[in-house]
Amino acid sequence: MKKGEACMDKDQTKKYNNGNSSNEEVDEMKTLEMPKANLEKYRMSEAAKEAWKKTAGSLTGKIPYGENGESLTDYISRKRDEERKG
Amino acid sequence: MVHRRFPVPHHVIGATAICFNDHSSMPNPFTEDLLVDAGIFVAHFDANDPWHDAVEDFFNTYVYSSTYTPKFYTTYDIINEYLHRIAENYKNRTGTIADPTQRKIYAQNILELIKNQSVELIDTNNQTIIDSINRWANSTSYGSKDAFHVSNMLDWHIELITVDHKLMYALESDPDFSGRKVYYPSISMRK
Repeated sequence: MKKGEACMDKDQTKKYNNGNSSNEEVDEMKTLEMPKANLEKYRMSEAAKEAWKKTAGSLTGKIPYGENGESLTDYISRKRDEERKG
Repeated sequence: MVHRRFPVPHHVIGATAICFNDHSSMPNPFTEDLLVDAGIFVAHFDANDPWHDAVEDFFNTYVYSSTYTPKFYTTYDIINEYLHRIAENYKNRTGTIADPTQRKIYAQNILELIKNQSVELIDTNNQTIIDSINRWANSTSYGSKDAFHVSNMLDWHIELITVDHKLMYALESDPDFSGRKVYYPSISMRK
């Protein structure tokens, strides 16, 4: 991701449409509410998706819990809270 | 319906908090630039974690079965926190230091996500660091990790996904984060 990168706003969409023929026009009323060119940014590769699937639950039984049953997520939250109270 | 443990303030002045398990208020496809907090990784990796079901409900609905998905980003600092706390947790619970065998197990998952660009790393520049230090110095709500993590939301114009409800409340009441969003799991899905 490039710094400052952001989705096109309405004005930018109009400028985009003005520079293109009507059959290439971006339709603001589409359900997806986003120009197609921008929407493509959100198409995840199969490899990326598979990695999310593959890692789901992959550390089950490998993260020890506290005697009180404290999980690692709760441990991280507790440590952050200690930092907040500084 | 938005699930909360505490009353909602009537005058939310900071970030907008959105429960990612409340599918009636979430767009589908859900296309957003999301900063992935450390707890999301942990909950995703550990099926015994109390937030696992809520986080997997999110992935099942908006990632696994969707052509268009959120784009996930994280920072070196968040990964550092993940590695630090997972090893510290291991030592505190077992009384032994996580050896390389154990560390490799913990590292493998996060490496898999980075190598496959399931999550992209964003850089932290001088200005972000200065902003983070000032945010920490001027705040009674943020710890140093909070300050560094959330400053990236402003610098990169991205939203946060987290299981840390206290961080969510802090962002909700911080005017600097007006216009930004924080996605959090439903308390009712915590096991």
